[in-house]
Amino acid sequence: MKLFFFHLMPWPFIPDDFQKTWRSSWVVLPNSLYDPAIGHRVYGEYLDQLQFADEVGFDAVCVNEHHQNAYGTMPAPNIIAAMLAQRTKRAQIAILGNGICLRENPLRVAEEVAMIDVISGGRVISGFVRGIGCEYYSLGLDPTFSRERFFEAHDLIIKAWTEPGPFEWDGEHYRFRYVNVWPRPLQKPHPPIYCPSQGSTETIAWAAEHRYPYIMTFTPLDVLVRFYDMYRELAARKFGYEAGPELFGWTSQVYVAKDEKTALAEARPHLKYFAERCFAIPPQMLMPPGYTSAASLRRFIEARGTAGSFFDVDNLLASGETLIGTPEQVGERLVRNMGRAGAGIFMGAFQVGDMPHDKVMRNVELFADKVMPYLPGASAAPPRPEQASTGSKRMETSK
Amino acid sequence: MNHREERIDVRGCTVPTLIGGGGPALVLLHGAGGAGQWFEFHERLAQRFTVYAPLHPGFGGTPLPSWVKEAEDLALHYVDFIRAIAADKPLVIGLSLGGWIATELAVFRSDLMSGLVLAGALGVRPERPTPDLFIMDPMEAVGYLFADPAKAIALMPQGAAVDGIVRMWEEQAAVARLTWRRPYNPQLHRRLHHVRVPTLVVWGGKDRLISPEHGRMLAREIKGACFELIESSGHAVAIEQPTMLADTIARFADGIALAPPQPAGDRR
Repeated sequence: MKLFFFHLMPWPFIPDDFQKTWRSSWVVLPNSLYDPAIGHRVYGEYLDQLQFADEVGFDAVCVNEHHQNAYGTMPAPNIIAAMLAQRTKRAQIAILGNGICLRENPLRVAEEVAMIDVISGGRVISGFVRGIGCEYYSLGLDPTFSRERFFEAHDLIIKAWTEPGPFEWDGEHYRFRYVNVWPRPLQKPHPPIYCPSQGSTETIAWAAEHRYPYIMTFTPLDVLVRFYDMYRELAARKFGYEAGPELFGWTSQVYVAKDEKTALAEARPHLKYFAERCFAIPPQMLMPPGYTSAASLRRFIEARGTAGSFFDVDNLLASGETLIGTPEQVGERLVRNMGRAGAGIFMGAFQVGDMPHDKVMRNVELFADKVMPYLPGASAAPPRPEQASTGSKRMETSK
Repeated sequence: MNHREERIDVRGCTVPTLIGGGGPALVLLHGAGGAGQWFEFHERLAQRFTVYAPLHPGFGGTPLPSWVKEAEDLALHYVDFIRAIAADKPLVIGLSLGGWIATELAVFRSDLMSGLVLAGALGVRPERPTPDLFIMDPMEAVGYLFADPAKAIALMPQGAAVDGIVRMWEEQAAVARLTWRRPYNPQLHRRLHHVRVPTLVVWGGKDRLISPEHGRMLAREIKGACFELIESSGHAVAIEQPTMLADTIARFADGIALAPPQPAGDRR
């Protein structure tokens, strides 16, 4: 099992009257609500948390890309990834993911990721995403060409990383006379590509074809398993291989405390903040027309009951399935849920919503001390590139 | 009036087309909503014209091909359509988004039509940006399209809930292809002088999507065009006031028939 330290870098001061006043914290929540002086402190704390995750032995620290919203304040994930290249020593730097079709020129992603890979000593995991529906409002991009642009951008970036330049690319959506990316990435043939996704059928098929690790975030387990089974079935039937746990990730909020009652009480307000003020996205914003295929939309609605995104905290906490509890409970449920999902990559969100820094650090410390040492060792993850072996670092206790 | 559906082949593209009525040919280019249905508007027109109501690519379950990138791509597709139905100089009516396509068609091929009717037409850049209907929840969007929201029932999906949602969403994708990045063609205003065909611009007095002022401007900019206001209607004039609109169009068509023939050649 690989342990990834997930982070969204949310804005923790969305006003209390949010649900009465605004439709969503995406796209239209006024940026006048952002206080840069507070932001200076908050970014610093988040970076400290990610650095700490490396120190206590997480296999990877994660960043992601979201624009014009209070859910996650990393519109430029490569900026944070570059900082982490300096602040961390051993963990992989998982960019989950760059919105490769969200820019005029996908080669800017190829350049930036190559830079971070070289500077970090070959530690980048290069996730590629199309960007969720909201980004198409924020960036003024036509959602109906999203998939086509994504596939072409991917092909262009891979070619730029693996074939000698300069070469010409005359595609449907991108045209460049001279493709000649300096620097070239350190890892061979290129940094591993991961595929964070919301479950569109076409993306699953594409990821299975390329054997890209596939990750759905904050999706109920029973829904997630259906999509992962689709990947596994396609891998076996169409592409002739068995898709093992190293190709699947499961994400969950994690909060450990000395007893379950304390854990639930301490985590609840931050989960509610996350669910009600961060995560709620109306269907029109999450699924603009043409963003995915009609068949995928139908499956999405049938699986979740809506085309929007909503998170039911009370049901979740009542289910006894959350990773919110004592170290023993969290460890046991984590292993069980990873087994159910058939996943080998666990992505833990230890900072949730408006959870303050000291709480996060205690949470991570307790997890590292009392849960990590008892989790299964390194799974059959894709082999790390040539660099110093980190050994069984999780057996060392944290400081 | 009986009407029928034919699937007309237009250079490999299957175009489901509602056809009904009798008399001079009329090609009706629909807007974003209500495609593929025979409304009172069609029925009224069919008493006077042979109505051809094709579906734009992406509507009614038809595919949205990659070659559909701009409204002018559909305008040229309709040049082929008019040829395919062997209509001799039809009256061309464009509603809303269909009005954008009709304007582009008239810019390039005024010679193919006997007259042009633009009802609540998109296409030319408006003074004030049009509201973003895509981001709104449906009840809010309806307020921009209808003076009387109850009339919007006609546009609500029929049949099973998920099927209806998916079908509407697919059709909205065709609308998004043309309007998401820019809901107008920045070149179109300066091209309006190429429209050389008798033109009627009709607008709903309560249109909250694009104001009647925009319609008046179009009528000023298109040589010889006239303007009529249907005061009580919102943006979706053909659904809100079908009889008034159909009758206005019929009067306009009568006027063209009575007008002296235009001399050939450039009149500027």
